[in-house]
Amino acid sequence: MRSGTLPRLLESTAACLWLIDSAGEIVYLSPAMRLWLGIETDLPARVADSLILDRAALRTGDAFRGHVTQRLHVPLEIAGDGDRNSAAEPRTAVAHFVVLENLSAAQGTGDSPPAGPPGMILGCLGNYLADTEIPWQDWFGVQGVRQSAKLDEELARFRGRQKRHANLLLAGTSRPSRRLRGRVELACNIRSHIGLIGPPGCGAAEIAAMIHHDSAPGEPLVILDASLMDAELLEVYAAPVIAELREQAETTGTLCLDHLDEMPVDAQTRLSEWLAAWPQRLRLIGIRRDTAHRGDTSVPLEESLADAMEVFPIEFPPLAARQDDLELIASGLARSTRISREAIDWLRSYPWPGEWDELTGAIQFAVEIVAGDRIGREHLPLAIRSYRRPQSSGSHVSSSDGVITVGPRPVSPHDFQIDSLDDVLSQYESKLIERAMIAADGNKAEAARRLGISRSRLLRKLSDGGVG
Amino acid sequence: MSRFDSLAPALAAAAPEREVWWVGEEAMAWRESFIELLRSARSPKAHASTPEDCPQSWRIHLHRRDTLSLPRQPIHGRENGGRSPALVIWAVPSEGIAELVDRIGEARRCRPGYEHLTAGLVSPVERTVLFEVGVRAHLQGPRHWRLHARLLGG
Repeated sequence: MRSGTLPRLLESTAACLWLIDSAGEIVYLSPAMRLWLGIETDLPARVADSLILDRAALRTGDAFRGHVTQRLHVPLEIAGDGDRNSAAEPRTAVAHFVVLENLSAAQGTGDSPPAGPPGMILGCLGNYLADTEIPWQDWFGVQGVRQSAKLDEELARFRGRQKRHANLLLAGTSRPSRRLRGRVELACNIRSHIGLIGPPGCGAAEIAAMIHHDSAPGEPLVILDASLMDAELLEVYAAPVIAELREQAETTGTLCLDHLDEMPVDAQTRLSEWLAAWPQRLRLIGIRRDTAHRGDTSVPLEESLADAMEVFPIEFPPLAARQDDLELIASGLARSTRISREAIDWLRSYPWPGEWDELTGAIQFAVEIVAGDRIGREHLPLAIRSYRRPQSSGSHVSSSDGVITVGPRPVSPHDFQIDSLDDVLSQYESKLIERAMIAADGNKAEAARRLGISRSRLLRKLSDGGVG
Repeated sequence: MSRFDSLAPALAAAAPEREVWWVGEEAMAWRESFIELLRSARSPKAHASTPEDCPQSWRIHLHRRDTLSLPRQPIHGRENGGRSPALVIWAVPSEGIAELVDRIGEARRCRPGYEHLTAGLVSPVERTVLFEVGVRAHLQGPRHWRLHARLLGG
């Protein structure tokens, strides 16, 4: 009944284990398993049948999982009674099966420990334990228990800070903020698919976490960057939610996927399969950029995912449309540090291309560099305090000496502004070089003469990318 | 097409340098394979279509967790000129991730503008926690870098 070195390793444990070979025969029973079955000699056929796994159970559709958890009903054998005792109640237990052939395949890469022969399945008895029943100290030692407690503490602190930021993001009395707050508050009270749409940096991740923790407290959550996932990575990273859904009939779970509009097609297909398999139990919170900010990397969503994103869409207004709320939000972010009226005016006139992330970064910057307890204009990042609102290009109406003139606004010397002098000079220089090269028909020496510079300087400019 | 058109790539602006902060002394195998990836033909830059798509060179700063000091990154849209954000790669300590979670949260709060990655062995639950605190990608094995070539600019 024994084969290979694996059973010798397994015998060193006190667990109820057995090995099934590729032909579907039980080739090893651990002593603890024999004791649990109450068997001293050969394994009766009908008991063996109950321990053998149907390999079809290892597949979900086309996907091979490599592990499965099942409930076993093992017929009770009474010692000394050779006949079947059909009247006895079968023993029931939860069994976990793991295919060892994948480990064997990986053995050559040096990533995994030695495993059994290809095609073997390891079975193990074991019930799920509630956290309160786990002998933490025995399993993980005092240091491990301390680490676990510290991690819980850090995570709780992080979530508290994140929720505070989310509440600040929703604060304000402007119409866009009231509308956003109303949608988010409703989403916090129902458990459904949510589609968050907004410009990059709009704080959707904080709101997604808030919605999840309020609408389904305690439910497993996995937050992923969808743009980095292919089907295989998604399967691995989403396992804490997906494995629970597969193995526990009552559990629910949430996947929060950032950059959903950039998710590769194969990963979308896998996600759609999961949504079809657990339409009620798997909840999806997707974060997408609004149409104005979708770039070349945008991938059309599969129909089922697009439908899920339309169940409860929440659109984030740009921060520039919430000027009236900025004083309240900035004061909340600055906490005990006050913000001067002048600084508030600058915050309100700035267009916030980086949205919420830029605002929190700017206030953090100001709080770090301010010496006293009052943030002034000089403490704001350069991009904000040097910003000049573009003048309106609309019609200008003026009147003098009884004559009213309607026409384009006269250009004022104060209107002058360019983004970067270096960029403009560089572009101008490139154009001149291009004209000289065309005029010289590609002859660099002639082009250099026409530009009034040495040939080596022209060559250097060409190799440096045309920037002088 | 003028003869000058063939010189256009040479006139293109020089590709920027990509900066990486490697934090922690663990996960040496991950670090070595990362450097090897950048050096090898499988480097993400080998797959880029134009010089602007990827960094021409990489600068890796090595730091201990307790002495990490990240410079401020431009947070204004126009300031970084559309460059890929700098990376912070955190080596996972062997004694647990509690302190790491604290440090990543602090770095994200005080120094926005970075992408955060982790490298090392963690359990699925720990990985979930890392993603929750803002880690964009986790490298469970030293050979997993190419799975995240897109994040590295490829």
